[in-house]
Amino acid sequence: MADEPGKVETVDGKAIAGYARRFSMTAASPERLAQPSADRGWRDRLFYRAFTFPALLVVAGTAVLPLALLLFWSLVDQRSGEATLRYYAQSLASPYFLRILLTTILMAAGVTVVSVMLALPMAYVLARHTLLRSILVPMISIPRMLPFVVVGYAMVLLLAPYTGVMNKALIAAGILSEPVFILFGWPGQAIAFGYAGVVIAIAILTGVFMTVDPQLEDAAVTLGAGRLEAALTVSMPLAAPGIVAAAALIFSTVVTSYAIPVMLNSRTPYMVSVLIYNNLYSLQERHLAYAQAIIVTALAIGVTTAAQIFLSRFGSRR
Amino acid sequence: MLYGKLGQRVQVRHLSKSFGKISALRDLTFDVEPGELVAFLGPSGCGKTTALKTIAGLLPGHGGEISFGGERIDHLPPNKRNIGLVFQNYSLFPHMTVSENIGYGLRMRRWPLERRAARIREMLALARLEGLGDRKPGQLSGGQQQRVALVRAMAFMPDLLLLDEPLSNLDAGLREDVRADMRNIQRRTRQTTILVTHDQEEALVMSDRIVLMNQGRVEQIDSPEQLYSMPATEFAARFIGRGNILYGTYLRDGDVDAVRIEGLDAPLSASTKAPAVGPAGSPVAACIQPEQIVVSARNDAETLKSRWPRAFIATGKIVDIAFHGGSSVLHLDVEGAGVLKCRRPATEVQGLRFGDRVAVGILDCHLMPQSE
Amino acid sequence: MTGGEFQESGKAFGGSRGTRTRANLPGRFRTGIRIGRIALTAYVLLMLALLALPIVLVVVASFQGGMEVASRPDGWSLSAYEAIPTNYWDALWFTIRSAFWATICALVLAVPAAWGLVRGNLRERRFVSALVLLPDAVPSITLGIALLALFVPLGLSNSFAGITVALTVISLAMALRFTEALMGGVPEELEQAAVTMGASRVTALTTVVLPLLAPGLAIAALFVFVHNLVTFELLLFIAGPRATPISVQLFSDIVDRGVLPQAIAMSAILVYVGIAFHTLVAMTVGARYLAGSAMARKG
Repeated sequence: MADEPGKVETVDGKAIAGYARRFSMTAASPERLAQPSADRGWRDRLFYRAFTFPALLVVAGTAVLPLALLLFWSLVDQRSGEATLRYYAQSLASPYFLRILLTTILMAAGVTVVSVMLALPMAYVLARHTLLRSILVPMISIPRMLPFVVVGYAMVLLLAPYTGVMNKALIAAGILSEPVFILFGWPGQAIAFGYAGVVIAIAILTGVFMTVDPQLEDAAVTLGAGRLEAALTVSMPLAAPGIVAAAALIFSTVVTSYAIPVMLNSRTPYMVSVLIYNNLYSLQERHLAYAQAIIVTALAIGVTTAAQIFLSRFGSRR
Repeated sequence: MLYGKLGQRVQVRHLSKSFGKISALRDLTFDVEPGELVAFLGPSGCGKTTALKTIAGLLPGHGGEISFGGERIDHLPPNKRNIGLVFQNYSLFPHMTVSENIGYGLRMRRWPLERRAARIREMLALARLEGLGDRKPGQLSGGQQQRVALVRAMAFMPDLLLLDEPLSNLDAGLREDVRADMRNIQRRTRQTTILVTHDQEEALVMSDRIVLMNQGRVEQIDSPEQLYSMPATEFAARFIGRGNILYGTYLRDGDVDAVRIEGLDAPLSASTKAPAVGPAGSPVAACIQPEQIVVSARNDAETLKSRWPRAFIATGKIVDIAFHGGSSVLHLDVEGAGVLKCRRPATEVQGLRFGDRVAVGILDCHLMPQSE
Repeated sequence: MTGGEFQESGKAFGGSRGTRTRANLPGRFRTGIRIGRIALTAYVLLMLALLALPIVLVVVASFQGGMEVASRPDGWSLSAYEAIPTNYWDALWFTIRSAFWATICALVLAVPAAWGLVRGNLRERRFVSALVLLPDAVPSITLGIALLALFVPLGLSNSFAGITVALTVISLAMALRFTEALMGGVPEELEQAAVTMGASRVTALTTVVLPLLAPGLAIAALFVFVHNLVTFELLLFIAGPRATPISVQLFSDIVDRGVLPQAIAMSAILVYVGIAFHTLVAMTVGARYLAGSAMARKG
């Protein structure tokens, strides 16, 4: 950069201005471009940086600014306008809020574990069988392209006490004498969340297992491992980062989910997102709701980050 | 005995394998003696890798028998066959260290920890990788990875070691060193080995015997020297040698073999012939090694005749001449025979230039049946 | 034992005429493999049934015109579809419009940004990527509340513009992930070649890179668009009577009035949209792209 300032100046100045002095450029450019990019001058970087500005501006205005506002207002008293930590203190000291948070976390953790366990073998099979994959993946992906609301409707049709297909079938088969009321309690919600979780997990994990070279398992088998042993000692560890990422995504999705809890009743269990919504609209405790939203967000992002840190520290990949 | 037990005699009988209607392997039969290195050689798609994977048990649904020391193993799953396989791309486990990779087969065989550690040390030494045991495969060079893959497959003392194009992922410059290394390790351990390759030179240099394959079938099983100098079929001659091939009719005159080539006025004498050549009068292919062709300036035909009285003499023109260190390679457009390649010591062809008309002498050839 | 064996077929060890020392192995192996295969097949079928059942129920119920799935074979009708009120159609049309504009905006912003990040090899590339992907990392309920907090004073809540802006933020994150990956797949040498032949870097982008990216961008646009169609939690807070996406409309109806036949019919229509989308993508790029983790979507 320092040894040829003139050249840098002309080439970049030209490019930024946006007109091409073709002949001088053909002479200068190959040399310029062949250099390692670390040598590029600040003008060059500014040129490329300029292209990222519109996107950055939009993100700053519509994501960073609102989130900053949210954080700011959560630290300001709603009535007096003074800086205060009382919304956080109030939430975190309230056994009611903590109980709801704990319920939510337990629900999310349970759903995450179960759906990953259910999805793992399926994803493995899909990743290894090309034919099966081309038939089944579109089928499995359809639920991913539906609003949670539609899943909620489906769950009502499936599980409703008197009209639901499951209860009617079980009663008709003589297994049940009267309908079970699982829809409007935690089992109904768990099933609905589990459905969504399995769908997410299969999609991500299939992709993850596809990146693991199947020949590595063949190698393990020629070295004396059984097929199952090979899958567990070779493919699983290699897929671990993807599995953790999928789990983190499912966890944070469930923790902050609103549609399912409200559609499938909402009183038991009382999920934290429902509480936030009620604080925001019914109780008009906006700043309290902001604080609680930030607590939940911190929890969701914290889990994801912890998973990443865990992986980078103890991760065994490469 | 230094590195493991001595191998057993490997016998493969009538091995066949098809994918749907396509038959990839037909009636493959051969033996590998203990401590021997046999190469499967053939063009890509000839079924040699299929043969390897079938022997390893990775491709199910084959016919035929495989036995080690007289004991059938073809009904066993791949993990019970005690065969080591080095994959073309090595397939080292990226999440395990070099030591863990080498020890994997031992772990699966439930070797006690101390014995395992001792064996891993032994293998690291064998691969000249002392001190690198704690690295991940990604931190090694290509040649080092290759050696890890090799000793990983040998660590558990397999009855048979299979190498699938082990050198194809290495730079040309590195290949020769690694080749010598591998041969050295194989000789020291007396590990019974099958090597798959499409590179004639690799097969000729490394192996004790070569199984030459074409379209799922065996063309010839012989020592490298035999295969090179006396190919059994036209395919073998074309694949192995750099020889010139001419077509003609087999002539037999008393004890002397010869061939009549269309367009040449006299028959060529042949000192060797493949067993499969038919009776006199049948069509044959004649392989003329480049060393068996001599040239001299055009007006010098008499010198050729006096030096090689039995040679067939013709006239031709130099269409290409290239200096290769000690020898020169000439392409000669010979009247009636087309372009022939000739290799002579550089001193002998001094003074000859591109475009010169020359006298050409063909000294000898080897006869084989023609391929369809 | 290898009970979980399933890649090999049972035939693999069919040639077990060898009756020597290890002869008892094949029998056990074959049984183990058979059990493994049966268990695995059963598991796959069960999972498929579980995943497909709810969707099938919605579709079946939509043709029965009731609020439940009836077992009687008669009573198939389109009455539920006919009963779909105009405000549903309005909501769907509203969603399609805002999803469309959000997709366009996101791609227009993401393509230059991806080019700048990838080609400029900027020091802050990771930071910028992380920033643009922020809306993806933050739970959508939080982002929704935050946008509400911003939009109310600006008068953007409960408006087409507000919904479209919200969708643009989340689409931008997705679009950037796609375009960054696509851009990384175009060799820089092609641009360098164009530049040596006299093009400016911007001309090289528009004449060489963009045509190469076009098919990938089309797929990305399709993904982003469909994702926008079904976004719910982000929009719940800023939606209102004058700006109601279809997912919010269906949600408030089930909460206020319970399960209605016309709502089921509308849900079924969304299922058809999903199926049509998958058919389209499968026909153009094949199913493997659907499995990629790039599409990890949040509720």
